[in-house]
Amino acid sequence: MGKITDIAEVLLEMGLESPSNLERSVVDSAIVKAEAAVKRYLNYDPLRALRTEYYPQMDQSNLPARGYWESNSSSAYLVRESSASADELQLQHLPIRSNVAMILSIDTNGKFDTVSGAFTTASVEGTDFWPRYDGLDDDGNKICRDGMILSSGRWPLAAGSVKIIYTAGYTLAELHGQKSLVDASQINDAIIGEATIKSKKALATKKHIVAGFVSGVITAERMGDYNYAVDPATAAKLFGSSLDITSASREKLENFVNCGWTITN
Amino acid sequence: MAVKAAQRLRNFATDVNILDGDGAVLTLVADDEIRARIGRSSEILDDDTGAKFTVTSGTPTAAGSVFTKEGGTITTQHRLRIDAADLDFDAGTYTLFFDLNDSTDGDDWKTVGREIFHLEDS
Repeated sequence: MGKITDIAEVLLEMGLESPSNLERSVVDSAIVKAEAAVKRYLNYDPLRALRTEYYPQMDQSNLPARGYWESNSSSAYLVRESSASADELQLQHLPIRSNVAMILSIDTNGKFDTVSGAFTTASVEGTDFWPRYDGLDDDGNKICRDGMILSSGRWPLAAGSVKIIYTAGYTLAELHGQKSLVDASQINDAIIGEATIKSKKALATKKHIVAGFVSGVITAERMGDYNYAVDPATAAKLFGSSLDITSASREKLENFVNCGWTITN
Repeated sequence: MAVKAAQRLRNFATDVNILDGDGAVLTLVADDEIRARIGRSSEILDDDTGAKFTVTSGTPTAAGSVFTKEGGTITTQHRLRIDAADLDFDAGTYTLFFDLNDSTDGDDWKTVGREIFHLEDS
């Protein structure tokens, strides 16, 4: 069963008004696969949920820092221009929502919360850190679509030294285009499209179970000296892409992909 | 089975048969209960939490929606009437679930039918 897309939406897209149990099962399974494919492409689960994560995922403490040496009357010092991505913390799940207060703790010896007594002191939002909120949702809560958090000072570079509990993702209403300020309906649209293609592929090649029934892609069939003919145009639409999702779906999802997380982790 | 198309904030009525697992029409007896729910499968899960609309036979909603159970003497079809005020949720495509609480089979609800429920803006 899909978490985002309801089976009724795909059945309607396919024109299956009275589906058999087999057709329902095929479509239901296709939705699960389509949702998984979309999540993999986005690099996160777009359904809103409370999440606990540890950052940085990658140990950046040994990465070379860009900078230059200066000196004053008594000592030399390094002026750092940049160091990996430690100026911004890029979270995996988008968008960050403010309807539940974020809890963020920094412990440079936290080791992904495996050390006893780690992450006991919470940082203060607005003082110690602040997500790059870019607007309000329909409920008047802030939303941060790029998933970046800035801090007062630099983020630590040691892996697993930041623990964050936050809410991210879109509601089902937003994923279905039922809200005016936050519209993520293209994600659901991509899932419906992918599930429809996967369902058609399965149903077009399934074993014939009804006498006289001919699947859409097969244009002719004969029992004696068995042979059949396939409509090449239909087959191309059904089986044209060997990729996980089609280019049309990738285009729909383009604005939702978390490229930053892929780069920094 | 057909697509049920309704409009937001407009009264809606439909007659439905309750079928068993083999697709045969069930004739309900006195203590049986039937329930209709509208929502997305992921929201409804095992109970009516998250359903956009729920009505059980013998228990009308506050707005006056009713699911009238028939005993099979005149008809096996049960009438679902949804009041306009209960169709006050976002337009979209949902699943209409029909559940049966079979008095001869213990007190648990079983989903016995599903239909496409398309709610249009009025």
